Amino acid sequence: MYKKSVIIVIGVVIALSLIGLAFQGFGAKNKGKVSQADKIAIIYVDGVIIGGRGQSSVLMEQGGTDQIIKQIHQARDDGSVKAVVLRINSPGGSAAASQEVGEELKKLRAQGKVVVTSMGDVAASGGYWLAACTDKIYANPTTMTGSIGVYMPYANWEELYKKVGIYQEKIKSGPHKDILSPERQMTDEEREIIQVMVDDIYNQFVDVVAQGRKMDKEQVKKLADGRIYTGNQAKQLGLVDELGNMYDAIDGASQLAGIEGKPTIKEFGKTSPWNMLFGPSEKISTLLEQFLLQKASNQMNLGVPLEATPEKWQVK
Amino acid sequence: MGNVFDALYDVLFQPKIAMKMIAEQKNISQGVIVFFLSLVIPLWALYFGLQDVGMSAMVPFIIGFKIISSMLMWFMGAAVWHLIAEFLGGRGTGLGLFITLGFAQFPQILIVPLWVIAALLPASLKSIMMAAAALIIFAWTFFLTITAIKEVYEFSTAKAMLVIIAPVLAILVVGAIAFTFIGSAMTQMPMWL
Repeated sequence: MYKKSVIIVIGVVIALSLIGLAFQGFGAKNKGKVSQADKIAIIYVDGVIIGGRGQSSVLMEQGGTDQIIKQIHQARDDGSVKAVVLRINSPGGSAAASQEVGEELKKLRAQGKVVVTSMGDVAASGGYWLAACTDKIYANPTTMTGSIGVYMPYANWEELYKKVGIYQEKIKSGPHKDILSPERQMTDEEREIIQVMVDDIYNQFVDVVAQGRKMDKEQVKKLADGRIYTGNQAKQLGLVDELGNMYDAIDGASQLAGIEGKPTIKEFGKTSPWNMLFGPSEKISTLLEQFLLQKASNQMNLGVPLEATPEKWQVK
Repeated sequence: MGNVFDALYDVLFQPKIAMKMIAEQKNISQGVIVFFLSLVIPLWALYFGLQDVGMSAMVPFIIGFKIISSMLMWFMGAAVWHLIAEFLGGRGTGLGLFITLGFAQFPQILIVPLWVIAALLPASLKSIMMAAAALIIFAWTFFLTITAIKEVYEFSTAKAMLVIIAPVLAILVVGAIAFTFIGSAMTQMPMWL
């Protein structure tokens, strides 16, 4: 009998909890309808910038610039949104995806909306491309930014395949159809083809920075050797306008948009229950991992630093 | 353990005895009812959680997906684990495992009051409490799943763990092999900034 009583008590507690949750949800819904005043939208660019719809799972959506572009369009179509703060926490990504978002940001500005960047931990490379397309850039003094440059990763697994015993045959329609294939050494001609492509994209990147930052192209090229800068250094070099956090960026956007008083904030993007539970710490670790991974793969592409190799291996 | 109330009490407080009895009685209707209660009640909490974070449009999709995936996991989990348990010399029945796995989900309904308590806490503690509650419930359900396999097949804890992780290990091995060799097909790489 006491077992039944215990289970009934648990059932009552759960029923009351459900009712409590229902009221809490109702309160939250009402809370969302407070103001129709001028708003500042916050759009988050988190992680590697990659085109498409990203990865979608039950509890969250990650990556994919289609979502970011959709949010930019929502901000554009919302008459109450006077300014957008682009909160960037990204080590970069694909050139095409960055360009796509960058162009949408320019269109947003052309429609009269103020767009201000707030850099988080990292806003490098493709992240900086986006920042360069906005009206004003805020960075923390310790933010890692810059990394203006392009690379194409290429791994040669030829030796591994030989050891494993894999020999891949290909029937090609043209000599360069399998360019960058990992099972063979790249030819000099192919290297030249890729180099021309990399240089072309690099020049486009430099143009975006020069235009966005109102700098001379040659001046940008001096800074654009792929190195990263702290927010502090970037400010001195003219790659960043102000030092400050996201709230400083919101204030800055508010001033540029002529919003009087405290602005109403409208956050775009989803906060999944999973992120709600584990979000901040997971997000930071993932970003750092991504940044370190990207830098590590850069290093791997270039080979081990000369000083780190045994003397007999060094090419004099 | 005459009725479902006794069974539920025992699942929470005397899981070893409960799982053995449930496996022997093979009362499938009780197993199905408990499983669906354990699925639907947390979904109610999830529904309000999703609305709270502005994901109303995704509610039907997420809830539908959760229901279908949970049921598939229940059916397929029971089938795969039963197969592995038989390979390892277990003498239990698939139906016994299926019903005990349904009962093993019961602690999930306790996530609701725990989340309500968490929602009442200050913002700084809210996330920690919610995460802790989710972890506790996950650990409890996992423990009950191990107990279910142990009692149904009369296995040791280590053997029961092996049954549970064997499919994951198999997926990892296949994934590692695929990751290594499918790389050869990736000839078109995007430019990276």
